[in-house]
Amino acid sequence: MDKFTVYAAGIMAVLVFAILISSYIGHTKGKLEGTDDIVESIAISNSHVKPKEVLPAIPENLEPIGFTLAGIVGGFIVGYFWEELFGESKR
Amino acid sequence: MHISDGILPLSWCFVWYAVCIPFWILGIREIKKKSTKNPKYLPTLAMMGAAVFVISVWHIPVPVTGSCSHPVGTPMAAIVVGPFATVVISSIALFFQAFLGHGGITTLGANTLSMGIVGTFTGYGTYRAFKGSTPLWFAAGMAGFIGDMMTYVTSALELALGLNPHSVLLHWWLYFMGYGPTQIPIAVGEFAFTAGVVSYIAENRPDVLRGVVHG
Repeated sequence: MDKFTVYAAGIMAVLVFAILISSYIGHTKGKLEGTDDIVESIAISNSHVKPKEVLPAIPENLEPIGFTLAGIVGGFIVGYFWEELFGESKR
Repeated sequence: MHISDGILPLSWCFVWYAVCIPFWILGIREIKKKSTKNPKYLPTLAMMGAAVFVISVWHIPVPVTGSCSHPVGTPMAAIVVGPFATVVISSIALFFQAFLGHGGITTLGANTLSMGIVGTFTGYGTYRAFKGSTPLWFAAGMAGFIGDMMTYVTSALELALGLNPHSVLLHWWLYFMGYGPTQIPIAVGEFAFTAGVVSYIAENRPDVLRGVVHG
């Protein structure tokens, strides 16, 4: 394996490990609230404003599909420019 | 740092949009100039945009505080593609994140200011300040740490200015204390991540840092 593949595989392993740890924490402790939501709730209680939904947000269960589609499109773009990004192919 | 629609008064939303406009203009100019000189610049910029999008929406749990938060990724992008271009790509990332329930469209200016402008420029400034006198990995790491923390300091200030104009300092502190305890470990992670990525690029593709930033 060349150096780039080793690095890429290493980063992927770290990310998968982080996702597994996060999932385990979520499983044992329940869903942890984001600080954005916590601070917004403090702000709301201090000022009596209410968040409004201006944009139609993608439902949470459809987010993985959104990320997958974005990943596919991003992958195609990076693939198209691969040689420009990472140098000439050895072919 | 993603402030939702309806939280900030409209007048403040306009103010933050107005602050962003010159940075967007300069960012588009920087992109045009660098992409004309260097054909590799646009794909690198696209890749950094995708990285900022994913990094700044990825909530990482911090069990000690019982909450989760996300890094920002803009200091890393600023080092690789330049600070003004990073403002543009972070605005695009924030626009799409609004559809995922993170942030909003009326607060896009406020969120761009915190993550895209303050996070970017404090991170990039830290990198430039440390670069000559410390190892590259440390300069990049400090950029990640400072840029991350300053993003949340700015968000807290935006909330305090918009919602509590009569006691800005007190509420600035209050809102930052909502972010801070969870954000510090995340910023340490951003230190390690930014240091690793920039060191890797510098070691394996130094032309990217030289050619893209200065080319």
